[in-house]
Formats: sequence, C-alpha cells, structure tokens
Amino acid sequence: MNKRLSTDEHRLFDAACSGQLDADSHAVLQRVLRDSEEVRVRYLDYLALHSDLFGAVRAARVRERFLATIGVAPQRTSERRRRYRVVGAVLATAAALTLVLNAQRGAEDKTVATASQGLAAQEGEGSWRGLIARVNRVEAVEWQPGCRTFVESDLIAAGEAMVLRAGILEVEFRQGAVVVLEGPAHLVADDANAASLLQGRLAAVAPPWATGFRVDTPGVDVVDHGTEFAVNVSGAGADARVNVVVTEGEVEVLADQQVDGGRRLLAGEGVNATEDAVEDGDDAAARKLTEQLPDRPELKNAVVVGDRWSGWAPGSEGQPCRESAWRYFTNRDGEFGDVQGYKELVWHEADNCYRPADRETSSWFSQHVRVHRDGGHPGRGRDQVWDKIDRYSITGFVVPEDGVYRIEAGWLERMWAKRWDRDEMLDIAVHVNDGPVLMREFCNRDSFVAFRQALGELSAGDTIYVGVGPNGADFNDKFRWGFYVVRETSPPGGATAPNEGGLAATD
Amino acid sequence: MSRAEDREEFLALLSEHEAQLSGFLCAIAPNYQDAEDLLQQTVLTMWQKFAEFERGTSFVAWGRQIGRYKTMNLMKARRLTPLDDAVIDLLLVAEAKQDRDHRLARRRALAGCLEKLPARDRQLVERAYSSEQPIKDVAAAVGRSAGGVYNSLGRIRQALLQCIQATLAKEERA
Repeated sequence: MNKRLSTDEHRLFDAACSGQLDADSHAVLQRVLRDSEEVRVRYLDYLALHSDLFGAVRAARVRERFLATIGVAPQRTSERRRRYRVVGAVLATAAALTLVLNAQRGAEDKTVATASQGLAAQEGEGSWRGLIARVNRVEAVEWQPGCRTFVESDLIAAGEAMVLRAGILEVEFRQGAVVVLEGPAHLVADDANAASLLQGRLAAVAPPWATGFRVDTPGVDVVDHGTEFAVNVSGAGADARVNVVVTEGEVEVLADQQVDGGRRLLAGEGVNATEDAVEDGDDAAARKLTEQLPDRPELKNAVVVGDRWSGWAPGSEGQPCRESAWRYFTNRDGEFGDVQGYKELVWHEADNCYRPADRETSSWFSQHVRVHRDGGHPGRGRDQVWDKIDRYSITGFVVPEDGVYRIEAGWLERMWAKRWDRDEMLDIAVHVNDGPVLMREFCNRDSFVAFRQALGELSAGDTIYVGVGPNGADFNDKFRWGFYVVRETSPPGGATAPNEGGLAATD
Repeated sequence: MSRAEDREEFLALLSEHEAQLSGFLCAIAPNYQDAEDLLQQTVLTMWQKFAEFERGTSFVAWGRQIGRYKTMNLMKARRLTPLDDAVIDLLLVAEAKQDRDHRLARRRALAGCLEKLPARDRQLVERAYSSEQPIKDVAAAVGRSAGGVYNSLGRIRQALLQCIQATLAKEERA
C-alpha cells in the first residue's frame, strides 16, 4: 500500500465515494487520477476499503436476486452460498465481520457465516422495496413452474423476472413505458426504464417522458427514441437471434459493449441480429404484437417540460431554490392549498436538502420537512399538533408557457415499514396556484402509489404544487418519488383521459 | 456443456471475483447505491452472455468491461459526467497490478482494525454500511446532523485506512 493519503486527497476521495463531488472537484479528481499512478493506487485502495465494508453487503443482495432470477431454488441457493462465497459475509456488526474475515484466512473458499441477524435488526428501521413496474393485464398466461406468478395490479421490484410459457402479459414501467410480452418469454425488470429480454417476444411503447427506455437482450440492446417497437429473442447462447422491428418513431440498436452511436431504425425498418452480424430484416409476428399495445393517445400527445428528478438542483446555503423552475415549500401557517400559509424551504448544505429555515427555533411541527433529490419527508401530522394541520413537503413548478398541462408518470414510494403498530399512510395531493386540491392519493401499506393528473389550461407563471403529507402522523414517512410535468401538443385538451388507464389507474 | 454445468461454472467464477467487480463499480459509479444496481445489471448481462465468454481469459476483466458500459449508460441517462475513458483505463491498469494476496491481507487487516475502533464509531460504521438508508436517515436515527455523520465516517475511514496500512507494514516486516 502506498504512502498515506493527504488531507486533500482524503476529502476528494470521500466526496467521490459519497456521490458529493461538485463539478470543480470532479475535474480535480480526473486530473490527479490521470497524472499520477501513485494517486490512482491510493484511490483504489481507498475505494477498496469502502468496497470491503459496503460492497460485500450489496454483493450479497445482488447474488440473492440473481439466483432468484435464474431460477435457483432457495434451499440450493443457501447451499451454494455457503459453498462458494469468497467475500461472503455482510458486515452488520464488527464482531461478525471479524469472524467472517478471519474465517477466510488462508482458505478463501471455505464456508463463511452471514450476518443476517444484523441485517434483520437494520430492517426493523425500514427499507425501500424498489418497486419499478406494475402489471396492467394478464391474459391466458401459463406461468413457468417455480417462478413468481402475477395478477393484475401486482407491483414488480427491480431484478424480478417474469417467465411465462404462454399468454399475454402487459407491464407498465414506472417511468411510463408500456410493454406487452407474449409467451413463451422471459423478461427481467432492470429498473424504472429498462428491462432485459432473455427469451421471447415483446412489444413496447414509450411516451416522451420514457424516452431512452431500454431493452437489453443476449445480442443487441435496443434504446427507444420516442417510438413503438417490438423485439424477439430466439435461440440461446451462440445461436441466439434477435429481431427488432419499429412501427413508429425511431429506435437505436446497440451492439454489445456499445454505449451510443448505434444503428438507428425508423418506422417500418427492422434488423435481424446474430452473434456474427446485424442485417436488415423483418419479423411479422413481432410487428403484429404491437397491435396488442394499449390504445392510449395520451402516451403520444405531449412534450415534457419538467422532470422532478433531473430538475432538482442544490441551492445556496440558507437560500430558497432559484436554480430552475422548481420551488420547495411547507404549509407552515395553513392547510395544504392555502398558499398564503406556505413558507419556502431553504438549502442546507450539510444535509444536502431543502428544509425550513427556522428548523432549530420555532416551528417544531415542520422541523422534519425535507426535500432532497430522491424524495423527502413531510412534517408533523394533524394528530400530533394542536392546530390539527398536516404539514406537507411541497414541490412547486412554475409553468414556462401557456398550454394544457398534465402530470405524468408520478410515483411515490414510502420506506417499507416493519413496525406496523406505528404505521400510517402518506398522502400526495396537487393544486395549481390558489385553486382547489385536484387530486389526493394515499400511499398505503403497499408502500407505493402511482399518480397522474390533468391540470387543464395554464398560463406562463402559474405554479403547480405537489405535496406529500403525513396523513395524521409522520411515523415511517420517508419517501422517494418522481413525476413529469407535460404540455399537451395535439389534440389539445379533451382527447386525453389522464386518469383512466395506466399505472395510476387503480391506485 | 449443459446449462446446469454452465450455471455452476458461472457461480463459481462470480464468487471468486465478485468483490473485485464490486470494488471496480464502486470506483466509477456515482455512489454506492448505484454501484449495487450496476452490479446487479452487470451480473445479469454476464450470465446472459456467458456463452460468449472465452474460457481461459479473465472473467473479472470481462465483467469490468460490461460494468463499465452499464455505468456509462447510467451516467449518460442522468446527465452526469463520468470519469474520462482514459482515466478509467488507467484505473483498470492500476487495479490489475494489485494482487489477490494483497486484497485478502487488506481485508484481514480491516477485521482487526474494526475491533480496535471505539464502540460508538463501530456502531456508526455498522449502521452506515449495513442498511440501505441514506446517510441523512442514519443521521436522523442517531440524532445527529448528516454533515456530522459524514464527517465522523470520513474520520473513521481515515483511521481504518491508517490502521490497515500499519498492519500490512508490520506483516511485511515480520
């Protein structure tokens, strides 16, 4: 191991590990890593410490999910883990870690213990379920024995597989892409805007807010650029063949290991890809499967003007957000919807979030209100305070131009609570300017709710307020969320039925 | 080779190299939460493409390439600036030079160093590294500010690193 870290290096590496590098620090990191082999070694050593402490925990979870995905039974999983694990143990307690690491001394492949007891203790404080899609339709499906079966409205977590022998399955991803899978097929939900098709036929439509929706296959990868397309994976291993056809818009077909600059396919075009070549070709059956996609004009008649996640930006210490069209509030002095009682939140560098300016002094009922990139926390609930008002974590969006607006692909995930005796629901509500509350949804014990909302005709400068409230009490109310503000293009207004169909339909 | 044999071989290789793969992804991902997701996607893709893996070549090098590609996609989708390709190449070279015995010795040393931490620091490390909670939530749970917890963890990591270095130096002298 090389010479010790300097203070500056330590600060820089620590920020990189914690996802807290600003642009200047990022540039410095690039420079020092490029310029010095010694620094590179120290950086890797420092990262190795993180990785040894943290990565083993994560790797253990990844392994569990992976084994479930490839269909290894739980009993065998356990045996396999004991037999093969190298790093093995997770690090819930230092004592457990010591035992585990000592057990590896001189015998890397030996059995090691897990620290599941420690993890279980942590789970008592809650965890995120990582829900990223929902089943919209199950039609004459015959499921693969031994794999999870789904019914309509079932929620799907990242890494879960859908393996069907026959039938039609429609799944809507959290970011808005809708997929129809025809059995026999094997699909793994990777994240809110990506899936891996290991076998079978799939058709997909991606609305503008899901542009970039990605389908990975054993051959090529397919990336949506605003379109409707189908993919068919047949064969296996070296004999795998992937057909891609486009019925509307454009997709990009990427070869293995290619990040961008792939081959672009337009409506009516298609390719057949094998291990050796990617050639023009068609797949009539895959093309026909696109007819099974839902007829929802709202998936195609809007442009995105605001993305809650990517629009979020840190501010200046003690100041409200002025970096973008987004504003953050809490209803300190009145009910949700009464904008006269709203108090703007200010940036707090140490906590990396917007929070009340007077948190440490008077307003104890809103002291837990937070807005950070991923989500936040509401304030106290009506059952906890003398004035019987729920304090919301409120995000405002200032409309840039006149038009007909909607909220699309809204979702909220509450931390999965293990303490049911202290469990309460969250609610999410929307209003515009000082108008009435247009929507109120509740996030119940499923820990997940999806939402969409028509907002009607708005003028430049109007503010859309979306609030997350404690619904009575603020126990276990940490949440993550996202939504898009979209402006309709054509037809304006009435043709869209934003609250019918889709991921939010039955929540 | 049957699918079952493929699976056995894949799992054996993965077990042997997953720590290295995880470490590499930690080095180039935006943060640890993302590193877990990237590892998940990387492992799945490696399995999908296992038929293409050339036996006798480096499993971990192959996995790193796939992981690198996944990371670039993620950064691109989030409009984040990744490390330059050239820097990642240099990190790959530096990592390839580190031998397996060194990595194992480092982990053994870490175990001893954790034992030497004051109980309060050890508890904070446990909490921060074994749960899925972000630091802000860990801070709330222990009644401290997130900034304070970041600082404490930074101090503890530095202490652990120095302890590991001292332990390894002592072993080399012995």
